[in-house]
Amino acid sequence: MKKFIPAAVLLLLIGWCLWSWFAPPGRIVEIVQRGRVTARLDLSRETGSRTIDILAPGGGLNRLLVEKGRVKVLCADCPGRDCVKMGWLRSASLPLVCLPHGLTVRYAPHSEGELDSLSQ
Amino acid sequence: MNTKNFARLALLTALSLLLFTVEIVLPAPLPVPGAKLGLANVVTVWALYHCTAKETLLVLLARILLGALLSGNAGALAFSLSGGLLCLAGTLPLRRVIPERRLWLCSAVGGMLHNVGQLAAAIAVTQTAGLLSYLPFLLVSGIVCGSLTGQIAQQTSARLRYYKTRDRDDLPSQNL
Repeated sequence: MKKFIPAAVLLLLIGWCLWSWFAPPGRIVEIVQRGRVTARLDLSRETGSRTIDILAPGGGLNRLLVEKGRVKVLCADCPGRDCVKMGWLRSASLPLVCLPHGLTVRYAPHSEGELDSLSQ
Repeated sequence: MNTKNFARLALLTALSLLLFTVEIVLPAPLPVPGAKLGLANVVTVWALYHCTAKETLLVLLARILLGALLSGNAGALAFSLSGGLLCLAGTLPLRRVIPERRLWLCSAVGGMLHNVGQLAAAIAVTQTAGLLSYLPFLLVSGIVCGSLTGQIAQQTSARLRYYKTRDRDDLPSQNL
């Protein structure tokens, strides 16, 4: 019996992973820098594709690629480039992060309702 | 600390740095920030069972500081430092409970603790609680990668013991 506890814990953890991996995406994307929301984008109103440059306080750059319904970090000048490797923003519970630049790109929590879309 | 011991610790640090540098070239197994194999910890886990607590801490600190310089990623220093120290603090008492032939268990717990410490530092630095949603991924990857590196350390340790005893010439007197 005791042997099954680690296996059960591992299975629960994997389930938790899958649950957040497949969480449904939202519509409004928030750009958060150092804990503050600095911009909001409405992905359903995008036409075509465009890039947005996000400047970090210490002097760093993340270039976002915004298309209809999706967003990703196209390139960045941080050392690890984890934010670029993460690809498209895919679920509401897994934000794109760039730790060196203190940048988070996430779907807005659903409770906020309709907002004006402003960029930069 | 005598010279022989000093040289041994220096060798361990060099070996661990070598593994660390090799790992930079390898692609990350998961597109999650902070999730990596942690090959350098093969040496740390081995040192945990063959050196004193102070010596293990020295090897770990030297590897983290020099590794940050080598990879040119000094910004990640805070994350690896908090992860490494939490991992060591957790596994030091564990080595009294878990025997060396179950070394990989200790390493799995260590990998998990390392990622928890890393994530805590990341949340403190960016002040974004949303990063907590990466916790399950980091826990699973910590357990899996920790078990793998622990298994490597365990096999290495068994082979080292074999070669150490194989070539001894002070044969015990046989009672034939």
